[in-house]
Amino acid sequence: MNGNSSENLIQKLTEELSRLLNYVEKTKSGLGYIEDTVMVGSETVPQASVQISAVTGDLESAANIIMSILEEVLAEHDRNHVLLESLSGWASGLNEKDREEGMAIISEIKQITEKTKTQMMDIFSNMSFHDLSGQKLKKVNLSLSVVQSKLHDIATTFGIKDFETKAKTASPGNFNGIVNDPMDQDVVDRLLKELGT
Amino acid sequence: MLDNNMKILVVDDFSTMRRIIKNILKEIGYVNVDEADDGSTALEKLKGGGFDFVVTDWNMPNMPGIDLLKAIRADPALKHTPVLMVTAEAAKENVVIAVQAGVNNYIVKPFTAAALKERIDLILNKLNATVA
Repeated sequence: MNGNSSENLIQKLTEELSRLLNYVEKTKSGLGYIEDTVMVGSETVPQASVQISAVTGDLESAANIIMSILEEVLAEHDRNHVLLESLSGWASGLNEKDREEGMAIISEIKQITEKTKTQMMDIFSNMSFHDLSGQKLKKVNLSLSVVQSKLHDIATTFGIKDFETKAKTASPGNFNGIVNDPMDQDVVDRLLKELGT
Repeated sequence: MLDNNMKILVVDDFSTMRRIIKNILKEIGYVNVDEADDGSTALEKLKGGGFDFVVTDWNMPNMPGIDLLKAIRADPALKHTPVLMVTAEAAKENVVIAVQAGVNNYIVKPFTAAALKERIDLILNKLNATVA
């Protein structure tokens, strides 16, 4: 009777220990997965943040270039307006038939000039896309900062080393292989020359 | 009486946006324009005197537009300065907050030159009517 009872107890203990071991193994593999995830996040989150900042900067540069061109064209439009007024003055001195024909053409040119000026002002107004997209990207960057902070907390809790190092060395290039550092045309030309193209 | 010679302060943290507003203001006849990149810089400039009108963004570092508006309304020397809020914050509660803080008008980005002119004219006509 006592012998059976001891065997049963040992068997139960063995089963319990086996379950416990299984649980410990699963936890260990889970922790490994968390560590891998945190390490991946430690690299990709700051890289994404850097990329977003770079996009904002590129958009600003592009917007400024377009606006500089627009400002020059608008200045030419102002000059155009003055020239058309002079032309009107000259045409008013012509005989009736020529004056009417000349004024009709000048009027048409003025209408075209006004229309294109309005359209250019519309382009100007819509350049605010940079500001609007920039504000949205800023919010995305703030969200990424929150994720980064949470990853940092997890890394601290689980004693994951190298987290800070990886986060600090994030660069805009090599973002999951999707985006790489852009190269200047000069660099591309040099590279092509080196490659014999 | 405010007119086309009035001095306007454009406040926005994005240089591109300040450039857009300045060009649109020029196009609609306002050439006396200065700029600031946040509320606190704007407030310093305003305290220096000489400004007749403020066009400000809402979202800015250091001092957002809504705080600039409140500071203007709280300053006895500046409290009557017209303020036009130009912002991407189109939520109803933002408009309500701005109106409660004493904004003269509110325009949502992106906007056309005609829309900006219309708001400025509305503000000036209202103010001129009050003065008369």
